[in-house]
Amino acid sequence: MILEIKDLTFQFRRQPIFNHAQLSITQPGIYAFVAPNGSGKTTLFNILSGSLQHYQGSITVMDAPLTPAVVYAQMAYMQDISVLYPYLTAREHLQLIAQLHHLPEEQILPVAAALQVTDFLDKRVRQYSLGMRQRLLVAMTFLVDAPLVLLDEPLNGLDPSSLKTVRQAILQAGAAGKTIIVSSHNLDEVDRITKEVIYIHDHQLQRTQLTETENAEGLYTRLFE
Amino acid sequence: MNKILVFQLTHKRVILLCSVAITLIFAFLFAREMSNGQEYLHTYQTTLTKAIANENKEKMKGPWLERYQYEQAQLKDGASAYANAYLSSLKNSKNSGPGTSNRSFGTLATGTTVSGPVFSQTELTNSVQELTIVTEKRLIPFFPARQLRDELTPERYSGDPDQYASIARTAGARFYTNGWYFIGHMLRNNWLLPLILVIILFYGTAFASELNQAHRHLSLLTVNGVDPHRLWLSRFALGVLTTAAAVLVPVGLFLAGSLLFSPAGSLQYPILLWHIDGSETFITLAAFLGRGALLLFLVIMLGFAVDMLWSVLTRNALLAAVLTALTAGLGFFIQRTPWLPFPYLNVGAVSNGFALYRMGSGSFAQAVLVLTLWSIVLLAGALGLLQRNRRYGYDFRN
Repeated sequence: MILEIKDLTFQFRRQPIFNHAQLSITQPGIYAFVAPNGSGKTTLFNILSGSLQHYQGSITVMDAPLTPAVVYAQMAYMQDISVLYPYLTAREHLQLIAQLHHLPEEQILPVAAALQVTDFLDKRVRQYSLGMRQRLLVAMTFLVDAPLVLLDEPLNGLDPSSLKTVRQAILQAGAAGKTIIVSSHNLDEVDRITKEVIYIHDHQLQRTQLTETENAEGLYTRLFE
Repeated sequence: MNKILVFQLTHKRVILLCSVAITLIFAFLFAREMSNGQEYLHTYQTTLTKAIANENKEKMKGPWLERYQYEQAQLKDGASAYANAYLSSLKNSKNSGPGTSNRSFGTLATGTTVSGPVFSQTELTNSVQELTIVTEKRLIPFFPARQLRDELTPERYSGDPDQYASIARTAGARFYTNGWYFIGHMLRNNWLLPLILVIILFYGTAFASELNQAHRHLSLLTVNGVDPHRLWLSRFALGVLTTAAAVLVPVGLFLAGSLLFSPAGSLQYPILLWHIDGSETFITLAAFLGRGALLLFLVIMLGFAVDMLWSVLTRNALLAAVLTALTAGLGFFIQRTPWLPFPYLNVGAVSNGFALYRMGSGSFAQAVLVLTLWSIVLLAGALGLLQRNRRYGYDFRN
């Protein structure tokens, strides 16, 4: 079992987000995570990454109960751009992640090249556009080389060329046997990377596999509009 | 984790800038002290020469002429000879009023007239005691030796109030032209505290920045295996030690540099120590500096603990810095509550006991205890709130 969520109940500032929610992922692959703003996508990622601890229910990752050690060993989590240090460069960010995970520095450049970060590797983050920051965050996440990857809105603010780069990185990681959960509002891109969709509806986590004739936008319209 | 801390430390250039500022400020003030001392000596020698010329012009070969000539000779013989002679002059004037011996200075130096001591009997007694220790132990004296004033000298002075400043500048002049003496003078006047506060405010932004919604760096670190409590505790320790080093290193550099111009002075030099009952005794300069250094270290610790607490509460670096500065400012207004840390922020006055005398209670040990306990309580409070915020998700958006 890659990920199993049982009876997850969580309130945020007295507002229910999950109510006895269940989810299980047994096969590696790419899973899109779609839901309207404020319904709890980032909250679920924060719970899974151990950043939020005050929940009820049980969560196992790779058949082990969720602990900081399991998160560190099994998970890579791409958060939003606010986690970046504006006064550090992309190289320094990647070095920081490499040091924290005891990875050799030689692994930095191939990941940076795959996400087209090389051109601005030695510029400070404060000089980056939104797209550059997003690509750096994705590079930092894939550098960790964890079996379970959580990507929170990685396609936000990307130009068509960057979209293609990030999409290829996600598809490549999926093909390499990783389990990738990607939250996104870009439903066209979701259709390009997967047919597996997880969504939040009525405080529950649901999973569905789209057929060849279905698409993410149709599902979204049916569920939320 | 250590690498993150070093990472952040190398990006806090303000610490280096403050160290350079402390070195430059010390050097500038020391140079000014030496220049003022030289100017005073020159002016005083001119005054003596004029007084001798006047006596000669009026063909008065009385005791005043001999005293002026004697003092002029002692000035030329240097600091120790002058201090010895000055001590004798003070003793003479203390025992039997001015002008009982020709081997004595005139009133220009001692300020003592027929109407009594220039300041008060306390200053005269303290000066005699100070110089007795200095001459007996052959310590390096101030040059020229003058009367020892303390915090209450202006209150004890019973002469014309308009004249006090000018009398203090002559009969109570003191020039800190030796390295150790100058450092003691800086400590006594709390001139290091504003710079320490600046370092704390700038370095402390690292705490709040990590929690700000716009810069949630802590979140990046925690999902990559960093324990936030260990990180904050390590950063707290590193901040305290770095700030202490940022003060100690410039002081050391200054001391080494000052040796190019004058001897370092003696760590055995007597420093006035106040007691709760208002009496005064002497401790060595080494003991005074030791007390001051310990208190400064504890104040740095307290400062970081306060900054950390405000950081967790506000999650805003600017707001945390402003509130930390305002908290430190409370020290000016809350001076008489011995269980609060504020009275002990006046490191110089606590080190020499004057703050405790004014408060009417407490001791140096109590100051150490109160500062330590408050630091621990605030630190524990900050870490507890950090834990609560993480557990309940107060630092996150959904």
